[in-house]
Amino acid sequence: MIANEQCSNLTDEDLVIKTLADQEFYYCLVVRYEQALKRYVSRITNVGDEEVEDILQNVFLKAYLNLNDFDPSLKFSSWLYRIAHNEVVSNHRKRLSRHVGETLPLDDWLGLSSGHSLENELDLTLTREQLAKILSLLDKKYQEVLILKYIEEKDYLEISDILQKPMGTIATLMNRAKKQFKTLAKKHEIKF
Amino acid sequence: MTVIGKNVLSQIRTANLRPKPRWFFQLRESGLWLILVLALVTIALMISLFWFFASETDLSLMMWLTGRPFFYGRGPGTLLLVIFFVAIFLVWNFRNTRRGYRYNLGLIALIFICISAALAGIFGYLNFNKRLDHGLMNMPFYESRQQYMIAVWQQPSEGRITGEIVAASGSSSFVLRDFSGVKWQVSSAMAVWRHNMVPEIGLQVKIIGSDQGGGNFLASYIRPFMPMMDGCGLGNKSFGQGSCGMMN
Repeated sequence: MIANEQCSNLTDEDLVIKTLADQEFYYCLVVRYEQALKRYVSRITNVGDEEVEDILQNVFLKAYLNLNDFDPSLKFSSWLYRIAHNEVVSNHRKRLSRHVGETLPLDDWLGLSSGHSLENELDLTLTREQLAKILSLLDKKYQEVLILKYIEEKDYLEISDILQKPMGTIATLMNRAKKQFKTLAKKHEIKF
Repeated sequence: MTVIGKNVLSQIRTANLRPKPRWFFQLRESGLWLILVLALVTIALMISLFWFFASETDLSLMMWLTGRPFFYGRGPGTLLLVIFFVAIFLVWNFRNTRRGYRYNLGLIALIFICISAALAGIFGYLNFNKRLDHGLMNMPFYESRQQYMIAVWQQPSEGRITGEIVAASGSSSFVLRDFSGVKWQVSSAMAVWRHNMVPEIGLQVKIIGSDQGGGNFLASYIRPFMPMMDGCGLGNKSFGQGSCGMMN
């Protein structure tokens, strides 16, 4: 087993190369992204912890199997988030086919680490509960771009790579997401 | 060790999983690009063939005579459908290439239109469209421009007939055998002959006029059936002396 300290100085790209030579190095990549991806998957799905972990295991396995498909000109994190996004979509479809109802447990949203940039951007004063509630009410496509931008702190190019949409489309989605967010905030009588 | 990390590594070890080889992804990407190029060439060929159809079948006259769009015929209609579906496939295929998603759909479509148009022009210049038309003539799904024109022109009740002159007596009348084998006594004394042609046995013509009944047809306008890519008229039959390849 590779100790985490052995790879702390290595970049993602170095770790990919090392993993291709020795699978044990993959542990470092898993550890490096586990928490971030867990948070991301939790926020864009409405499933419990166990299912989130199942999704994450699939994400890391798929990433491992497709490691040779990783394009070093992209960020590794973008590539990994894209696999996670696709896995969430696939999981969502399976749930729909099984007619599993989806309700968003508000508690899952309360772990929001930072929503301040979103509040500043929209000139809103929100409690974490309000922020969580409004985010949960947004259309899925808007919810995800806002989460990626303001909570996962990805730039437009990274979001474009994750969602596999042109940057212009991402900008449009972002604008519409902000508008919908504001509308919902007004509707819920949140102070501006 | 994290639970997920432990589980993932354990599954990798237990199942002895290995990343898929690089050549697999390279082959897939190359395949996508190859299909993309083939689709682009197909569209360009179809456009050049469509243009050939349009330019060789009296486009404006047909629209005026039939009162319906040119692409109503099975041949042009099939071409348009093929172009439409291959174009959708082309854009979809491009979106699935490694970086395809980064580009705006409208921009991609515009670039493909320009490339297709340029290629279609080159194919037309090299007469690929004529050769393709000739090659496709016997295909069951394909209605060649000759068949299309015969279908449109062989409508005596609408005042149009087409066929080959089998007997001529001066310029005032001749006998025409249409492409279904029916003979017509055509009175052409008042007719305008395109390119100052004269009735001549073996000449293939299309005629606008009126059906007088009893196999008689009063012609008001006569033009050659069509120029051919090699020789003249259907079955290499002549339009008349020195008129081979003459544009109608």
